[in-house]
Parts: sequence; structure tokens; C-alpha cells
Amino acid sequence: MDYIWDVLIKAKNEGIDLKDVRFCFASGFSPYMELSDSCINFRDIDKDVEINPYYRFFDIFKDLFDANYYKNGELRDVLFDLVVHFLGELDLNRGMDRVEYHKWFFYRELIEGTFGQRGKENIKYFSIDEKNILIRNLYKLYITGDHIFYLKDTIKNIFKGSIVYLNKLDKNEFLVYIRQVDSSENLKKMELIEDLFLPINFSIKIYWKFHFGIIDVAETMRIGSIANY
Amino acid sequence: MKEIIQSKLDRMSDLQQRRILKNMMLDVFKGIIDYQEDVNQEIENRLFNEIQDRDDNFTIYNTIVKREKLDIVSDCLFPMKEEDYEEEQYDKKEILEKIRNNEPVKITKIYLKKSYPELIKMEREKHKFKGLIISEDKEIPIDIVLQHNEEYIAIEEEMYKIFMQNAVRWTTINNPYIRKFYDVVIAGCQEDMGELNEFEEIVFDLAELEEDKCVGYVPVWNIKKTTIKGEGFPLPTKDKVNYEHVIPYKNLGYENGYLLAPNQNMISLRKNKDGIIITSNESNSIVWELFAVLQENNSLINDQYEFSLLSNKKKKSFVDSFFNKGDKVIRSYSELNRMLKSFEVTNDLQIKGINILDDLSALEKDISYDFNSYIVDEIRADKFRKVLVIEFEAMELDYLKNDLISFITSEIQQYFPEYICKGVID
Repeated sequence: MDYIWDVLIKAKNEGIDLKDVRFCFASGFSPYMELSDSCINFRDIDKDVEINPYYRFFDIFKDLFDANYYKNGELRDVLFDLVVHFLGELDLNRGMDRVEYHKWFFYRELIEGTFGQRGKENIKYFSIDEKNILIRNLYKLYITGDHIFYLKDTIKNIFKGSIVYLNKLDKNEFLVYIRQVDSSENLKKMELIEDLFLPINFSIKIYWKFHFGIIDVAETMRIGSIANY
Repeated sequence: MKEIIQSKLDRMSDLQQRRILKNMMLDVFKGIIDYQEDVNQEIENRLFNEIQDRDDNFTIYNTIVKREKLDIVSDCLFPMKEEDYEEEQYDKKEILEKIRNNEPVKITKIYLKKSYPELIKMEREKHKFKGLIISEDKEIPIDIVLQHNEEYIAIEEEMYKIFMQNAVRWTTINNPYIRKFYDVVIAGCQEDMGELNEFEEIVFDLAELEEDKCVGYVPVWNIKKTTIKGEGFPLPTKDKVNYEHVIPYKNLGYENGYLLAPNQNMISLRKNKDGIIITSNESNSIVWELFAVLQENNSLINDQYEFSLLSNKKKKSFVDSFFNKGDKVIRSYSELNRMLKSFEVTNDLQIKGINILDDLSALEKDISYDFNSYIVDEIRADKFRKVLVIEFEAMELDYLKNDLISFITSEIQQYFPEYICKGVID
């Protein structure tokens, strides 16, 4: 993590309440870094975040911690904390561009139930990262109209190590192998992916945990771990 | 952000400092945060509306009203047929003449407050009803039949053609009412009428339909026909001279949709701030015939009608306008749901599931019909198309239930031309 907004994003993704994130003026800091924690490569936000405010915001903070002034210490600390939170929130809007807004509108309408009641319920099972993958691909699907590409891409990215086969020979069918187990959560996720990406004239068969056997492919032909097609 | 401020203030131990900081925060900082939130919202709205701003002011509202009440609502709803302003007239001599020659005679039209399957059943059974011609000295029994009235559907079809001529995207009109009108027809008279050439009235009895018949109602919609003179300015193109005719809004309005009546030498019609601009090769400033599709009228929002006001109004949705910009068709299950949800009238309806059948004969019950029956698919023959059955979740709806799912199925049909779309509901 390098910047204030790194901390905020990480906190949001991990469900940490922003009220519990406290920014404070680092006692000793590097002039070349914004986050100046005593442990440079810290990864967890479990305590105060020490920062060097002069890295980007010298003009704002140049007088707040004047070394000759020592009264009202708590006030200045809390004020500092709040202003940094605010600046961080501003940072978070800087990266918003047209595409990000458009994706946000898609997401908002999905959770409002525009894409059906099931979508509204099943989106809850996705983590923030997975939601990002889902919405990004949904947005691209609506631009390009390519169902098959984005169905494959979404499954592969959300279920790591899965394989998607397309059978167009005698019927329109997808065969999907997913390395994970068919927990109710995974089933719900898969249901939403199907709803959003699967063309209505296609069917989909999912093999959870065990791959179906393919002759001559040794990995799929282990006794006790073969699924039947 | 405000919660963060409150929480951090609450945790301060030095009360004096807390009070000072609290005053600072509540005055200045809160103002800054509010301002920042407004600015963000403004950017968001701008991006949302950027795509929204397509020409979507062709929402059509319709209902039926009693003929006597027509004038009261005429600031926004107009009869589909101009003749409907006047009382129905009939030539008694002609009626009698036709009965003598055994020709069927239409005497009036009625609206039947029945659901689609009930009406289909009634049509199939071909009921004959009893009627009487009452004259001074005798009563002559006659046979009455009901025939489906097609005249308003024909008017809607004309409107479809006008939409096409004006190159405006067609959205299925949600008008079940005009599909429930029946002509009351005298089918014959067994008795000899003798020298009768004058009578007082004709009465008829529709037996079990009597309760559901509504007499003297006419369909109305928010399309107003107007004529207006424009100013022409010549405008050269590569190989000819076109003329731009500007029609200032005056008592028309920017928010309305405008269509030019057919056969008027129009090349294109567009709107800008000053007025409606018609490009044409007509050089004189002439009187233009316009159809104004009126929007944003209070009477169109307030439900003050005896029969509910139905519309094909779309909700303000980003995905909907985003999608309509592109030329791609999305064929996912969610997309069907999205289309369903995009209209205001279908907001509460849910899709239970879909089914694809090989042909129509596999369909168990056929309870939806096509609102756009006049749009012909010129590419695909019906016998090669599969059937997409959309099952809707059952819900409490009045006798217009089948019509509502037919409306949305007809709209979905427009986007899924490779299927024959059918709606099913329990």
C-alpha cells in the first residue's frame, strides 16, 4: 500500500468500518512516501495508520503541527484524522471515469431487481472482487453482444481453475468443470452467471469437484474421481 | 463521512477541545462535505442523462371513456377515431332494407369487460342472441350476433406505419381495450316484416354477457392531430435543394413527440430549441399535418378515469437506454427480465421460467396474443421458428391479466424474432 486511498479501498473491501480507521501524523517519516508506517510493508489495517501529510498535501498541513505549538493536541489529532479521511474520499472519486460510472449504473440496477428478482438476491453471494468481474463483463456483453466469450471469461475468473467446454456439434450446450464443491453459495453464484450470460437457446451442465472422464487424458481418468457425461 | 466525524468526536476525551472541534465541524466542514456530495451527484446525473437523452417522448397512453364525457378530458386524450365525437346515427330504412335482403347489419358497438380466454371461448361458440325491432304496432324478433371489431386496431396499424415513415422506433402500444370491442350485428329475421319501414328502437339481450357489456364507450389516446403553417428556408445538398420548414412551438411543446402525417413530401423531422424542423423538397411554406404525441400532462398522471389509464411508458433506467443505443441483441434470461421490468405497467410482474418448444402444437394452452399482429416478419417463416414460452408468476390481477402478459410478450417478440413468443400465466 502506498497512498491513503489504498488504505480506504482495502478497508472497504475487507468490510472494516471506516470509523475505526485512524490516520495520524507519523513521528518519523520518509519524504518519499505518503504512508509512513513504522513497518513499511504492512498489509493489515489493525491499528493507526501513520502518514506523511507533506508528501502530497504540504500546502494544507504546513502549519497544523508546528513544532513550537503544543496546545490542544487532541483537537489537532482528530482534526487531522478527519481531514485526511475527507481527502481520501476525494481521491476515491478521482479515478471515476465514464466506464466506471456506467458499470456503477449497471450494478445499481442489478441490485434494484431490474434483471429479475433472482439477480437481486444472488448478487449478495459475490465478494467485491467477484462483483467487479461480473459487472465488468456484463457491461462489455451489452456493448459487444458476445455471450459465449463473456460467459467463459466470467466463469473462469470467478471460479479459479475451472474449464468451460462448448459443444455445438449436436446441441447448444456448455460443459463446465469447476474445481470447487457445489456449496449452496457457489450454486447461487453460478445461477446468476447463467441468468446474465447464458443465451436462452443454450443449456449448461456443471461438474463440481470431479471432472468427467476423457479417454486418453490421464488426469481425468483417475478411478474414484470421474464424473459421467 | 458525517458518521465518521460524529464517531471520532464522540471518542475525544478532552471535553473542551471536543466542543471547539464540534463547532468547527458542524459549521464549516459539514458545508464542504455537502457541497462535495452535490458535485458528485451532479456528475453522476450528467453521465446518467447523457445516454437518457434520446428521443423517448412517444409514450402512448390509452383508455376508454363514455362518449358524453369526451370533451372534459380533451386537453390530452383524444378519440382514436374522429367520428367518435358524434352520436352514432343509423338510417332506419336502410337497416330494414338490409334485413329483408338477408344482409347482416351492424347496429352499434360495445365493449366487453371479459378476459381474453373468455372472449375467445365466446367467439368460438358463436352464440346467437335474441333481439326485437319495436315499432308502433308490433315487435319483430331478430337474431343478434357479436363480431370482433377491427376498426381501432386498423387505426393503430396506421399509426405504426406513420411511426415507420417518420423513422421512429416502435414500442408496442399497451391497448387491450380496443381488442375487446364487438360489433352488434343483426344476423337475420325469421318473421315476415310486412310493409314495415319505420320503427322506434332495436333492443337486444346478450344473456350472460349482459353484465359485462359497456355501451357508448370510445377508445381515446394522447395523439392529437393538428395542422400548422411553417416557414421555409432553402438549403442546398449535393444534387438538389432541400427546404427547411420551421414550426415554432407556441402552443405545442418541446417535451412532446411529433410525427408528420403520411404523404407530405417529408425527408426528415427533428426538434431543436426553437421549433420543429421539417426538411422537405417542398419549396412553398405550406400547412403541415402533424401528429403530436402529448406527454407530461397532469391528466396523464392522475388516475381519474373509469377504466384505468394504460401506457407503454418506460422507467428511467440506464441499462435500457444504454441497450437501445446499440444494435446488439442480448439473449440471456436476465435480459428477458429486464425487458419486462423496463415498463411501468409490468413492474410487479415476475418471470417464473422459460421453455423452448419445437413448434406451436406442443403448446398446451394459448392464452396470450400478439399486440403487433400487423407487423410482418419478412424474413422468417413461422414453421421454421421455435416457440419461446415465457411463464409468468401468478398474481392477483383483474380481467386484463392476459392482456398485460400479451403486451410484454409482444414487446419481447420484437427483440427475439427468431422465436414465436408466447406468454403463459396460471
